[in-house]
Amino acid sequence: MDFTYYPINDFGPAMKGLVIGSLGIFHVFLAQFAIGGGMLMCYFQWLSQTGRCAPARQFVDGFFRFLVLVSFIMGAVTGVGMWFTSIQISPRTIGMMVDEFHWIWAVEWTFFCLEIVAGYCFYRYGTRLDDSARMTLLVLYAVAAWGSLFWINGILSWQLTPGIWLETHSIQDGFFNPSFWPSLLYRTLVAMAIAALVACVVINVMPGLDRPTRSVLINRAAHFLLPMIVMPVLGVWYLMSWPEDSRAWVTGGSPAMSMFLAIGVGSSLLVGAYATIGIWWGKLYINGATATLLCALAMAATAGGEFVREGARKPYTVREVLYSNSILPAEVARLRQSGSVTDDPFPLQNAADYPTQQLQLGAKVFRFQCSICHTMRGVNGLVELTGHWSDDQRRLMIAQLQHTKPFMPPFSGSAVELESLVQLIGWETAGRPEGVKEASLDPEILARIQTWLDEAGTAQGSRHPQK
Amino acid sequence: MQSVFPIGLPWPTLMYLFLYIVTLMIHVVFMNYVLAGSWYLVSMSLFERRKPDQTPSLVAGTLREWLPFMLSAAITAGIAPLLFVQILYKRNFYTANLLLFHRWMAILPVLIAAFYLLYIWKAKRVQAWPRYFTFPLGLLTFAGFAFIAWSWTENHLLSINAGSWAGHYAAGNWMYKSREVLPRLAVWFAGSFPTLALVLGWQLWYLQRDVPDHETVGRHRMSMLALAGLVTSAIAAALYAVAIPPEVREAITGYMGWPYVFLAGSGWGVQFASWLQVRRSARLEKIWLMTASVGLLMTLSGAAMIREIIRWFRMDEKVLLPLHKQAAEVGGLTIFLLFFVVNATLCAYCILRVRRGLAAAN
Repeated sequence: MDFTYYPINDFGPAMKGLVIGSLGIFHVFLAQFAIGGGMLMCYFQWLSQTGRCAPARQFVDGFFRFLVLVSFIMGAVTGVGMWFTSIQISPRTIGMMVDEFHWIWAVEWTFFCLEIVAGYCFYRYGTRLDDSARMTLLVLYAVAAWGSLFWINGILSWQLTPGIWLETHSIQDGFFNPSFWPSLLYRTLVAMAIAALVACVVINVMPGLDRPTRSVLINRAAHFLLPMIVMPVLGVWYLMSWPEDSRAWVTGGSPAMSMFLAIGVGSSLLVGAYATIGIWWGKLYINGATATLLCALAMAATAGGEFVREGARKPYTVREVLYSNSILPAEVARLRQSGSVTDDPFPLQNAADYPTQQLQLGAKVFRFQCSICHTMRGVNGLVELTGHWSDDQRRLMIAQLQHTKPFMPPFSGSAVELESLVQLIGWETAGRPEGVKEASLDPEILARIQTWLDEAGTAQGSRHPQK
Repeated sequence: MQSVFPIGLPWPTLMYLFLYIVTLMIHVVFMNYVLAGSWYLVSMSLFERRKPDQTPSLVAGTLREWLPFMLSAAITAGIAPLLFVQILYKRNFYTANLLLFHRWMAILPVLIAAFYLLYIWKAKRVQAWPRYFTFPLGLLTFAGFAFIAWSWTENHLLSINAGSWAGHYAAGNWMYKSREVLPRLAVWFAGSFPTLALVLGWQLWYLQRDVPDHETVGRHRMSMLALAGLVTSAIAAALYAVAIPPEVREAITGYMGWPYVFLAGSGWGVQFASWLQVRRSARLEKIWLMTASVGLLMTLSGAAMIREIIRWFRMDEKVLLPLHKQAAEVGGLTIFLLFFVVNATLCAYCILRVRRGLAAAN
């Protein structure tokens, strides 16, 4: 079995998940704004050409300009950025996704092309076209934008719920996986809500509109917030489509995940309640500041939702196929025999900082197996997490990692590597003391570690490990 | 491989190579427009005489108007080759990305900034600013695109030099130094001008097609741009040929690549002759734009194949071919082809609908 080693970069005190998460949240928010924006403009164009709302046409032209300047630029570039960032964080994960779904990505690209062509045609010539042509371009733009969501949603939901794809490896089984539909519908409603909220901001800053006109437009835009009423139902459906253990993380099993879910749900409820009771039912006028605050809440909801979605996959990046640290379940046993970094061709960048070979080996093991989710001293730092443990506690905890913390993958190295990692953590916890001598490995300790490793096995942890 | 590249390779590799090269060429056309176009505008903001009413010349105005869309198109068209390069050369591409680290990731904020600068540059108010404002603004925009071009060149060269990876990583370098970087970058940069001249030439022809019997505005400038670009790209290509290892050079000029050298060279000649004709005539004639287009297509496809030979020669076929075979076993090709046709048709329909709509409005 060939194992491809990639150079692993260090983001300092920042956890790698935060790096991709931050960009991901930003990109998802922009992308969903673009998707919902397309639908919203179709609605306003329809209002305009059927005489239901006179200023709707003016709004469409102004809003589209804003959409192009925000979504076509930052949305497009951060989309490419997500690819590049994924490569930086976990090349093996993105590589597997590309291998399995490159034709789906290619299909999505054709929708991007249509989105750009239809969008720019409207942007450049929309004001000079009749209603029928405008509507045609807007519908094509909206379909293309939503189409890109449709295709990417299949790939992203597959990561968490591959379903029967695990047996069949058929592309349609992977694409139309158990969480595909709830996720797609939920995201569609989110996109509509975000577009409506951004529209409220834009309406407030558009020049040449008086207060009554703004009020009319805001109340029309609020129609796109109404479907939020069914979001809780869709949310529960989406959650029920997850594997049981993933669901358990976000419903109390992991405080961080539960907190993010609470942020997502809480923010959505606040926005939904204000939109339904205040804007739609009470016909309240909202000014720019309030609209911006609601957008910030929507961003918080997006952030919560995205962190939950990413975190719920643990200990995998692709459920039951690839662990968070880019090791296949089938590779664990072999790496325990051969050592996980024995064949790693990339030396340490700062080898001189580690006074002994054992610490250098520990640093390589940390880099390869732990650094995807942990730092040494920073966010999710090992010194903070395990600093108060004894060496023996560390040995046991790491050897039986998947049972100690079931959202972590099993340790995939040899007993010697595990001991090196334990010594590294101890040395780092002690503040990197100088004058450390090369220690000979105690066979008794290694035997004990090996026993614990054998007891833990190489499979994913479960609630009922074999005695 | 002892035959003309890629003859003899299995069909999965051929398919992905074909898709990669075709989509790359589409991307390159837009990319060249942006790179050369932003450079041209910088030069014009310094040297061009301004009209009393501050309106830009037809050439500069057209460029300013179209650059943001062309950049959008370049980014969108760039997604497809970015996808296929991951299938073809995953390990190399990913490793180069990782080795260049922050410097590589910097292309994203730089691209966003340059994109917005294009829109600022386009604003009528900005065009009336004095030169000491517009020139630095333009220079900054061009510098952004130049940085991205340079980063891609380094990324590509690092990706095909696996022997340097471990040392590069250990040293923590974010830049890759190689004698191939500058000449290769020069080939791309100089080669972008004939593309710009051609696309902009077609735009100018279209804008002035109904104006009878007068000299086409921008004709002379387009021909000079193209001819200068063709000459300098040929010099840069010769320098690049000297910079690459002798065995790679032999492969290009020998059994693997001679048809492509011939194709690119012939295309270069067709373009040169076409632009000379344009320079001699008073108008931008459709016939010479068409022959120049054929020439550009020949040069681009020849150059793209040569570029691939240089890469392929340094790869281990035994490792790559099974991976391509494995990738080809997943489903979805039919769906892609179906939606490619449907969405390409809809793109064409959008353009036709707009043309009809504008004609009706006029």
